[in-house]
Amino acid sequence: MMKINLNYINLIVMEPHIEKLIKLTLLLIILLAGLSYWLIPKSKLRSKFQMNESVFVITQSIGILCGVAGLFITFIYPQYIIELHVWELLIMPYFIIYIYWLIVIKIRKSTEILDEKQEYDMSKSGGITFGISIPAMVIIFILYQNEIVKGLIWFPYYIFITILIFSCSTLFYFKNN
Amino acid sequence: MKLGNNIKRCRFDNDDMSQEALAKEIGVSRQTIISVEKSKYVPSTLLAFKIARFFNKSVEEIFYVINDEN
Repeated sequence: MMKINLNYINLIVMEPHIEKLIKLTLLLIILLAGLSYWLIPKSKLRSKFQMNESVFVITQSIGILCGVAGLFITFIYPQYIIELHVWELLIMPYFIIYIYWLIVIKIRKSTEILDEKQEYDMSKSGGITFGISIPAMVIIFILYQNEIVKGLIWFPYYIFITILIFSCSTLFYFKNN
Repeated sequence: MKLGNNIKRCRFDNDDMSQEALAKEIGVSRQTIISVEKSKYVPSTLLAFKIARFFNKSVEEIFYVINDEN
């Protein structure tokens, strides 16, 4: 008798529903983020939105978590990461924290929300990320050429590697240099 | 060459001021003060002036050049 993997069938049946749910969640988050950006600077909540060392560290920590989770899930479930829009969902916390930064910029009416060392650390990390992303893309290209990976999977790999390296190096330089 | 400084001594002379309090006064993060104090980060001219002005000293009284050969 043929063995039927019920979990697999369940997932196939549920796939369109999961995709719809994820899309709806993403739409809701983006709408809420847009509304927050528009309304918070005009409301009493504006005083609660501060930029400080903790927010800077939390931003980089969220970047590390998103990067690790994204790479892990891309590696484990490559077939779902793009089809079900999982990569967008995984990147959302990072997106939300940068919306927070944008709200602070709007409240202060100035782009100078970081101190000079934080800016310096981010610039250095940007250079490192650029330097590492090139060999990372070469590796992905070789994997494609040898047909080890297929489809659009290069994109989530690239984006999560970039976020992970950038956040790790920024946090490292900020804490150790 | 490295840029040494007397920030730690100035803080102690200034009622044992904490790094956090100095950072708040200058408008930078505590980590920036720690890095400048440990000579790991060379501050901009503006930040050097801000620190010196806060302690009512000249920039040369706070910062000095350390020659590696010496």
